[in-house]
Amino acid sequence: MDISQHPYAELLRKEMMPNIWCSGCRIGRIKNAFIEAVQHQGYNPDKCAVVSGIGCSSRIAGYLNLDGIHSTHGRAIPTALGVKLADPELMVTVMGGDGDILGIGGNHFLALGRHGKDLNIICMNNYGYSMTGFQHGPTTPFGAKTVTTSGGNPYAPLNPIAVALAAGYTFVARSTSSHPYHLVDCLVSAMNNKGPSFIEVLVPCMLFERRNKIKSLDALFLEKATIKETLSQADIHQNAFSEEISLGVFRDSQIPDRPAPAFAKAVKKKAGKKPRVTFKSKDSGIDYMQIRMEGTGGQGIVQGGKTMINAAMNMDPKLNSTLIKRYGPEMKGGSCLTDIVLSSQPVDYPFVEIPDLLIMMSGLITKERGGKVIVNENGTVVIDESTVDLSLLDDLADTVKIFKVPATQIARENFRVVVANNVMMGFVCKTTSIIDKNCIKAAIVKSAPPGTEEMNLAAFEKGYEL
Amino acid sequence: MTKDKKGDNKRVLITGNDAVVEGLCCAAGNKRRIVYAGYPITPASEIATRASVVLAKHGGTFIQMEDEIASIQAISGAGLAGAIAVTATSGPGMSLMSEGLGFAAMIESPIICVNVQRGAPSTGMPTWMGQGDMMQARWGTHGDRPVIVLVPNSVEETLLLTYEACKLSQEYLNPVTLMLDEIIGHMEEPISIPKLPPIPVNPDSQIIGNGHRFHRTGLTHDLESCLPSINPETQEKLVRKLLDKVKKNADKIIKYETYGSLSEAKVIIVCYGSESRSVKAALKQISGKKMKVAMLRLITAWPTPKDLICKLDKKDRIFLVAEINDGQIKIEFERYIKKGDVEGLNLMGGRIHTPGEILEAVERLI
Ligand code: SF4
Repeated sequence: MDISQHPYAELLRKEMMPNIWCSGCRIGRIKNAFIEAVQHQGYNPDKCAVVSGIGCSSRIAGYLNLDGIHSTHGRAIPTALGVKLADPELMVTVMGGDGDILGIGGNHFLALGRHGKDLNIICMNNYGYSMTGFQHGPTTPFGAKTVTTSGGNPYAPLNPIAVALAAGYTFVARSTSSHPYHLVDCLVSAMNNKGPSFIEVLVPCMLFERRNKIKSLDALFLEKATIKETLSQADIHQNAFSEEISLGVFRDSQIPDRPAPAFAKAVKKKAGKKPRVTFKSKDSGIDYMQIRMEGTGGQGIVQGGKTMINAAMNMDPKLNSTLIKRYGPEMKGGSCLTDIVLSSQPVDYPFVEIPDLLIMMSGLITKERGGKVIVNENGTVVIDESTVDLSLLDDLADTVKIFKVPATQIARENFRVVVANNVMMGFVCKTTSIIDKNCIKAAIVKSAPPGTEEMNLAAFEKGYEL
Repeated sequence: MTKDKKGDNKRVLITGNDAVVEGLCCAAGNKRRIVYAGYPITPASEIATRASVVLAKHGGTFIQMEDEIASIQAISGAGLAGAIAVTATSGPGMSLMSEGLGFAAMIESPIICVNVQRGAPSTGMPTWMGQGDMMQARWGTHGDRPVIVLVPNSVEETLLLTYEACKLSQEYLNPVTLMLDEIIGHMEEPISIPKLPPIPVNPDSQIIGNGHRFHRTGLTHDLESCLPSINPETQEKLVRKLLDKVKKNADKIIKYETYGSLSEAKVIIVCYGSESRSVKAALKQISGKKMKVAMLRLITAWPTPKDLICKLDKKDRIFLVAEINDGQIKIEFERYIKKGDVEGLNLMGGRIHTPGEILEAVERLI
């Protein structure tokens, strides 16, 4: 017969024929069942995509005259998920073998259940890695002979149905290549299910038959398998050597209502109105200034630095600036510093080498450096005397201006310790007058967590009044 | 914060990691769907955090995948289905993505992969910078493939190069890697968000779902039909065609910045990424001293600006390649410099050189 007269011609990629499968391989039947299902449902073939991995069964994607990707080994599911996310209107089907989907791609198989996206996974289980000569795979029956288990497979097989059910697939079914009508029914139901669907299709491989002296798995499936209307826990188990094989639908449920992650409306925090602080911008006259705020993780060192740089930008929007934070792997309790460079010119080197203004909220960094406080000899040090060992300042040049404030103590007594950085900021504002008061207050309002603006402003005022 | 409503000069303070997402939004311009698939990893996680909030507002999709392998595969699929497809990670994730990058190049999926480099190898220093993945970016997959790698050195340039990466990936239907490092990723700088034209889908490309009914495979395939055809002749034609996309257009792709007079320089300091900020600061410090030093900053790390290097090659000229690795880009200069000399200035990661250290190195050479 001329291939163009074949009833499936419209969905077959004729130029790819003949296929690469062994004569007697039954994978082709699964391909035909898929075509039947697509035609039966009247799907627009232009809107059907197939994605496969690597292996004998993964070659199906290439024989179908649909948009298709023959991806890397084990990665068909995430590749298909990407296609679906880019164009949610497509019907996307994954074709693969047991080794591909359950072995190397096992993590993706699990994750899709959780992601809950509408993909159809057709897993052709032939009990091993056929394309490479039949090594044992995740579903190889206990005791079965393969090229890498010549004495019989010593490993317990994985049960795909049990895993799919546990992983949260909304449609789970088992069929075989020997039951084409049943298979088409399963495929149609999987396509109609709106969540992730999983069909395990048992399929004979000549290599498995030969090595295990089975005359015909095809005949064996017909003999042992029963199609059941309702299935129980006991029906989940099967393998090529078992007495009975149950076929049918283990689950066909709706995907539970849950908002798709990307389209979920951002939850608006119920916060009171932000206090308004007006400020005037002006030319700051700053040519080049290095500011460092250092302390211990959890003291609001990064937050304080952000307030500082935002305040500087409020004051002089033309100013160039950089902010860099340094901390170890631990977010709390380790040393932490924020470097800010303000400049009338573009900032190149973004680290503070010698601070003009050093704000110390703990002595941790200095101690890590061997006790040396680094600051410009005409610069300013503002320290939190409730947390810093004052003897660290003993060796500083006389020209350095030193200001002390018990910021943490004030914050603890009047507010909460977390606002110590703003007590500090108030004090810095007053003593150094580098940045205008209202510019800092506006910056505090901007970076304070919603609902805490008033407390942070009060802490600032407290520091300012000292 | 994403859009500038109050006039052109309003600047926002954002990190390099934030700027990646802003660059994507500029490229999409509410016209294209963005698909971001990624897996959390320091120091790139903030890109995912921001993407998860911002992309939805731009008609995009953010998905956190089960691992980096899944991430790159998902965007390879999304790229073929017409989306601006992007992932972001750091060195360890990049290593896992190696196979996927080669696959994307083979199926010609236009994807963008961001690597915020940390100190390496292995887990290395997650919260500290490194530049040790430059050769991985070039060779980190099996086989030959066309490679485009961009390296920004500021928050603003990160935004612009993310946009550029989207453009180049469409133009050449090939993955583009954007190499930040931890400093650039975490540093905050005020920038104004520019208005840029959305990047259209390459009109010559086939898109899944548009009726082309095409097949793409990682197997060696015929150039026209894209169907597998495994023989030396097809392989020869296919791989050469893929490589030529970048080879033949290298001069259009390559970008660099110079500071000082290259033609008069006795020492040319070669650098890229955050390290280049030290180099420039150092050169500004000696600008009055008439020292014959200039900077060549690579914005495109791959393909290598071979012609430029050969043109600059001259007897008694020294190329000082300053980088935070054991001399990975230096190897490229050694390949092409025949008359002059190539020296390295290297740190193994965690920090960049100070301007003082750069000047010391220059003084040793002059
Ligand atoms: S090796 Fe087995 S699965 Fe592969 S084509 Fe042959 S019979 Fe089919």
